[in-house]
Amino acid sequence: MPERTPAAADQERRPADAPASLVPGPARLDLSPRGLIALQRTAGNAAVGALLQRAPAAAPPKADAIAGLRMLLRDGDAHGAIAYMGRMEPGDAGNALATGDLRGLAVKAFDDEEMAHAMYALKGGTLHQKLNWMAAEGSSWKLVRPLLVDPGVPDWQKTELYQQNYLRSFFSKICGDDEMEEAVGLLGGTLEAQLNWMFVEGTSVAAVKRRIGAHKPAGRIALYRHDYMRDFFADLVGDDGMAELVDLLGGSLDDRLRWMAYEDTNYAAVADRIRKASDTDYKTVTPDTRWRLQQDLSAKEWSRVEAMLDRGVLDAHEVDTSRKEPHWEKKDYTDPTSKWYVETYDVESKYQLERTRTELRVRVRIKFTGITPTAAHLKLWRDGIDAVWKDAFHVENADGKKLPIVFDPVFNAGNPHHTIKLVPPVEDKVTGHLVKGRADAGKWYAGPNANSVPPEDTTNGLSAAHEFGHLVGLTDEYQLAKADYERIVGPAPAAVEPPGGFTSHTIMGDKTGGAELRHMTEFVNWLNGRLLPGEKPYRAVAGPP
Amino acid sequence: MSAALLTAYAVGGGIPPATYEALRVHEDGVVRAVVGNAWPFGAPQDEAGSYEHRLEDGELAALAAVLSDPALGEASSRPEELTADAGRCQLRLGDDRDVVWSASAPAPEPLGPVVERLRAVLAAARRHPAGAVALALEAPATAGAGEALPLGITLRNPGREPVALAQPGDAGRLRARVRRVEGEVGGRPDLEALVAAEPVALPPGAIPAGLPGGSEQTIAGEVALAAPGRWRVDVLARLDADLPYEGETVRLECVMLAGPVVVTVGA
Repeated sequence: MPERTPAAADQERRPADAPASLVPGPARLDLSPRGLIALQRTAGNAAVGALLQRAPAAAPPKADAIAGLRMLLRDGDAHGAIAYMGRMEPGDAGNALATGDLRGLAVKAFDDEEMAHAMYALKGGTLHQKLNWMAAEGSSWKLVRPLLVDPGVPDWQKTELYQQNYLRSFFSKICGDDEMEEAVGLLGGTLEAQLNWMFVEGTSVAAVKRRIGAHKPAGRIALYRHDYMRDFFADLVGDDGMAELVDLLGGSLDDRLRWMAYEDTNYAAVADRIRKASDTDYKTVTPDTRWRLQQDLSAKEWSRVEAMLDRGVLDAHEVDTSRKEPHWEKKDYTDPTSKWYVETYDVESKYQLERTRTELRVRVRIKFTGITPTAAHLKLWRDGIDAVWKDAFHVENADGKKLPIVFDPVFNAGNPHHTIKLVPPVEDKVTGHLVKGRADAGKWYAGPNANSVPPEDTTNGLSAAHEFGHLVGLTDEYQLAKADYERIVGPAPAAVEPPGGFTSHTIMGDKTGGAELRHMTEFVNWLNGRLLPGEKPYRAVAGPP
Repeated sequence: MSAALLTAYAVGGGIPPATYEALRVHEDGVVRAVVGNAWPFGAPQDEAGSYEHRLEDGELAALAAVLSDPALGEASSRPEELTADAGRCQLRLGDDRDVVWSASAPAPEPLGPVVERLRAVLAAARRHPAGAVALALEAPATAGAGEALPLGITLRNPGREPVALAQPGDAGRLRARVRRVEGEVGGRPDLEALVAAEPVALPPGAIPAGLPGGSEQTIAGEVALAAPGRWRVDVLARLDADLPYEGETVRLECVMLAGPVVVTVGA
């Protein structure tokens, strides 16, 4: 049996002129100072405010109805009192509920169930007032629930309950997790109000998710205004749980990351949210949120997140693989009649793939050793690489989304993918000029003229473009056996393989042509392996988007 | 029948068109060389072919002495990882052992002196063509803007034996590079620059099917120089040739670079 509340305010006595009839008079709201004080005492300031806002024009109290009820309650006539209350006019019912001594008397006269039935019977008064009496009496979810499902109770009466912390305590006492979830569902109101009650009672992740899901987006994101709510969330879930909950809440990327950072988040969860944010939303993250994220992540992780926020990077991958590729060489170069044989060479694919919101970037960090390159050398090589690879391709998908493929050689970079040794040109014994030799992926010539005047003393742009192809994992396309040519390039140009094999007319073959779509295969495959939700696969297309 | 091989040296391979210089020195002093493409460090580069020569006794003895240095045995057979693009050098030592190294690297120690001597032998041998193809460019010194400039290309066989030219009609076998220049013009043509230069439009049958020994053939190719100024013109020829070699023929891609010719284009 719940503890009964002492009826301390019950100082009134049954009036001598109590009516013979117990039929209550016409509806009245007790707006007298005494009535309001009583309501304030029993139901709180908010209830008083609500009453005054919704009250009809003031009317004199009808003392008879109150007196009649008082008499019955004093007599301990529970059944009589319930019947009497069922016949009271709505206004009298409200007055009765606002009369402090009556509540004390009722608590004495009724048990839990009788109190509930008395409240069910009353045609007037607010839900708050009735629950106030039931709380004073002590009750159960089973008894309270019918009041909440009563279609006659207006919404404002339900939502005003949230302003009463004692009622929150009352509900916490009578409800388990599921019951509290049902209670706030019946009460309606804001998500914040509902979760407040649920968290105080003690709730589950599933229940919180259901409750969030019951609200429209605008109602969900209002939750971010309440830091105490973030604390509740943090107590309830871990990194990934918080990430899931903020996904459910929606809102701006800043809102979500701020709450995630508060919980102590992790790189994967942060990166995933940034990746899925819209092209405008990812720019909204504030310095404060950034600072909080930085505290949660390692320096390396933070630098990746920074790239996502500053440059719109969506995904990045360091490619580091190697393989053997065959092509024909002379068995013995000293013998002009020597046969050809298959030699295998290492092809090292080391580069960074970076997909941003606006491009697919293939970045190669290159460190030069040996001779220090001049600006003229770097320009020569960059121009040569650009001439072949820049604006040569883009990707597009069935939705018409297009991204340029940007090739980005980063010279003299830290943490290089490749090291290229720069060697001096050799003196031409015929002319006395300095001339370059053949370059490869690891050795380039760098002369003092940087090819500004003939003869060329420096590995030229075309060769740099070919070697750059190797740096991003492309193999040579010259002197290939038919099967290798068809595997790497495509259909062989002749049915019979000539001595020394086939050579393509591309940048990776004899350099008489440029790059081809198939050279983009690895990059496009990587991109298609990491599509955004709902994004359609891409294919390479020649030219800029 | 050739005498036993004393030594052999070659530079071969690399991105097409591949370098090819092969030298074989026999114990009787006979030297045979076959050169398809002498670029980047060989000479001459405007000629490819088969060459034969005999060393004088003193030269042969000096070479044999160098090759007999016991220190040569210390050279690693493959001192570094080879790459396809750079091509490779190969040296056959007296013990029938081959040393192979990247063409973009100097000869490994202690092979430097041997290689230097063999390159001198090769240069000397190339003065004795058995059958070869030499490319020449004799464009006029002046031209009008926008006018067709006859390049004055000739193919000549400076040797005594004929050279057959296979697939002579393929487009792109001759390419010309024109570049505006100022001041002194020097230096040999650059293969890397020429390989992607514009093909020279040739009439059908412009390239002969063969060149008898001592013969010369003019090729009717031309370019247009649109703007006034001084222009440097270089030409590349890539021809498959059957070269005489030890009584037989060997098919080889012959790569020849000719130029520069300076043309002044008037307004």
